Amino acid sequence: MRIFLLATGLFLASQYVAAQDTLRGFVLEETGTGRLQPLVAANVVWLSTTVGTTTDVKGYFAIPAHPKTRQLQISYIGKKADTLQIERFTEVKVILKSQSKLQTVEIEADRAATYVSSLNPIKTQVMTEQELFKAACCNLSESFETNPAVDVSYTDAVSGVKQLQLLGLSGSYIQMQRENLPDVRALSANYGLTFIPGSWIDNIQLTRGIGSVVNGFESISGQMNVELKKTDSGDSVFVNGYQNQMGRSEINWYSRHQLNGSLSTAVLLHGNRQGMLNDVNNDGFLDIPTGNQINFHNRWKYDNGQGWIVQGGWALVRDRRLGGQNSFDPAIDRQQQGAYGTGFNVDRMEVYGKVGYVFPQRRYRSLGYMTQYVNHRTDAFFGRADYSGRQGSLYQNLIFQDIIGNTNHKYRAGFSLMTESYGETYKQFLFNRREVIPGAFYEYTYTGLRLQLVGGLRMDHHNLYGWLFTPRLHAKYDVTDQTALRLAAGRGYRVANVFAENMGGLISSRQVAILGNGAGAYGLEMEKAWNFGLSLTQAFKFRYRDASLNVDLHHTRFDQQVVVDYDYSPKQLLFYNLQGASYSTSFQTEVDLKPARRFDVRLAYRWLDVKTQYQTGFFTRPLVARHRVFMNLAYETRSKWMFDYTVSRIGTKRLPVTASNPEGFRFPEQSPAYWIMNGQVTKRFKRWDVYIGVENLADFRQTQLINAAEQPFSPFFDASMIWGPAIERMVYVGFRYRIPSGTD
Amino acid sequence: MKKSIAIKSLLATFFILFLAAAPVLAQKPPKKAEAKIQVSGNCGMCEKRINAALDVPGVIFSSWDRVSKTATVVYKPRKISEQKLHELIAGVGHDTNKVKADTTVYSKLPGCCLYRENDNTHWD
Repeated sequence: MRIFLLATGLFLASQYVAAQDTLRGFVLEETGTGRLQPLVAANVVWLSTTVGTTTDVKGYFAIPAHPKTRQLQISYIGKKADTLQIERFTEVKVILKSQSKLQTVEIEADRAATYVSSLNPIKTQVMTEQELFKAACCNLSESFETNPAVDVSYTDAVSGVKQLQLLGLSGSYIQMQRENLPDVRALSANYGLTFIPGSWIDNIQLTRGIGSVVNGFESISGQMNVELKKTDSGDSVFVNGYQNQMGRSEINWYSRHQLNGSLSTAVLLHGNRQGMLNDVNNDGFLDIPTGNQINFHNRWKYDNGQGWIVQGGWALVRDRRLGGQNSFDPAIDRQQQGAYGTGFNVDRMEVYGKVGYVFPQRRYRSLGYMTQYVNHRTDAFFGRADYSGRQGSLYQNLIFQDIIGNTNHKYRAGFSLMTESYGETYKQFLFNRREVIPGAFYEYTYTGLRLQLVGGLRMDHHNLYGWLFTPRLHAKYDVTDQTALRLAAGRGYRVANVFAENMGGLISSRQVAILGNGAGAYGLEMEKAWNFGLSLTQAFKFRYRDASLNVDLHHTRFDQQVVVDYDYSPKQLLFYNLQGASYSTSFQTEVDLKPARRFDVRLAYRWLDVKTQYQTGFFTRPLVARHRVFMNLAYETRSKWMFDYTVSRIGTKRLPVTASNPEGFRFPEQSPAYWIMNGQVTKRFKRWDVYIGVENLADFRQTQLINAAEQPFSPFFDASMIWGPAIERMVYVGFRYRIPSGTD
Repeated sequence: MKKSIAIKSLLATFFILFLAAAPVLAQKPPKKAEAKIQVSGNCGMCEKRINAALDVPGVIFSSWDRVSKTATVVYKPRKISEQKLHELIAGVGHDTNKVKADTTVYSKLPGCCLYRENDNTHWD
């Protein structure tokens, strides 16, 4: 009995000590109607250290005491950061003020425009509106001009579509999400980037390497989540107009409306038009296709303040593009005329909903359900070849979140179900498939004083490919208060959509051949890869100001891959299952400094080694630059003039082999290295911003853009061999107008 | 004995040199100096306002700690005096340990910044 009591006593004592060592509290915000509501994922950090945590869905956090500091900093995107002096370890309540609510126009940066969340074991770079404003054009594909990790290039010389590249791997290896729902994937890969206008974006979260298992198994080279402007915070109206010298016009509208204490809505509109015909290099092909897009998104949020939060929305996109030779006449039957044309029509519809419930007695326990239905149609032609794609996807994800004992041990678990149907035709070939993928996941998060861990497991069953087991681990260790080491390792899978992801290759005379023999999509295997990441974040002072150094090393190794082979023959484009090795190794180092007031400098260097076993040998993947050097300068004057300048040195790239073509239809083996520069000047007024910018300031262009441009129906025609800028020096102007929250 | 005279004369020489140098030093202040100034204020808005007021030529860096109510200012004494720093801060409504802010300026501050009435440094 005595022993039992003693044991209980010890147990209670240890509990007491634990409670003493942990600070708990809530982070809240005031809504437009004056109610307090929790801020989810607010950053809570011990000042000038890398030790911290984030708040959960109830705005709740718990952070272990720090031996050196008693000052706790709390920050959230769009909110004024706050620092508290912690005297007693009782529960604290913090109300963060909205930055836009300040009457005095002080938009001075409290935090960098891009920052790495110092507390998340999963290294995630958050790019805020401030960063996105540095390059004003136009949609998600252009949002990374100031980010050295992401390479952006045209898919081909005709369609004007851009693609992303991360860790030297094509953008389709990034798991793309919009507010944790799948987006810009499958049949809208690459092209779907143009359906997210830059002016709608609140922030972008970018993770290199594998992400969390809660969001699925698809991330291989990275994970990206785009947050759109909200229904209940931020500016109440935001309007943006844009015009460039090539005749592209854009208009964006956002407004939000608080209908009553618990219901709010937002309307997002986007329209763009390209009417002018441009052919600066006189190759007979339009530099940018003509066309237009109408894009509509309406979202809703209901929050009764008693644990229930319901969100939903619907979106429509209609996009029409016509490109190709200047002489192409869409009114004449394509099979009858001698001119080469391309057409690209997309109609897309989406509805989605999210329900969240927080258990009133257990504030760290919550249940969330989200669902999304997407219907996507593409109808396209490339010269005399036709392509059409249909996709219907229903996504569901159920997440339960709780703690084990105390908030140092958290877990998330749940089920997901993806049901998709695809129907594609290319020339006379038909490809239909249906995917049903139920899955279950469990993710455990440990938060210690110096060590934080996220371990995740998921098991999915794919009706075409069988069982998929996805283990993932992320760890962060704070070596000192200024130094953090991160480690990540895990598995990723995906189904390649060979046409949608390689649309540029179809704008050529290459014969497409899919060398599959299985029962899966296109008869090909599923792509399977391991990704390993190691990174170091070092904070230091430079000229009295905060500065940081980031070093990242990533290695991706494919067990199974759908190889895209442009090298077998310049007259063919092959897709086949990997036979042998395929990997990507990437090293990046980045320094962010503030050498003076209102002056930001970002310097980066990146090195890539990407090799694949092709049918003709084991060699470097084409169109990947081994070296890239990057610099971004941003300076703001006292009178709110902002100057941004970005310069990159892109190293040489291996080009697909064209040696078997007759002379005059060959490309060099390697592209030259080149510099690319962009600049922008913005003047801020109380409610207005006006900007003028230049892309490709040095006017460097790929001279031989299209192979056999004069003979588009010859066997040598190829518009997909694009390694450099296809567009001349281009000037644009634009404005932003906003009505801050609470002033309308 | 000889040695001590040598030392004494050396010390004397240094002393004279020092006396000679002193007025020169006084005329030419150091290139860079750091001032710690007591500044009243409450919140993050105050911090922004104080830093904005100190965003003038001659000031290299400024920060304000809301808990200790101390502003740290790195400045060039050849371009701006410490007294001027106090005046700049008081000019936007914040009292320092040397200069009091004008009441009319102070009264126009937003509610949360009215440090003379309420001391709401934090909300815990």
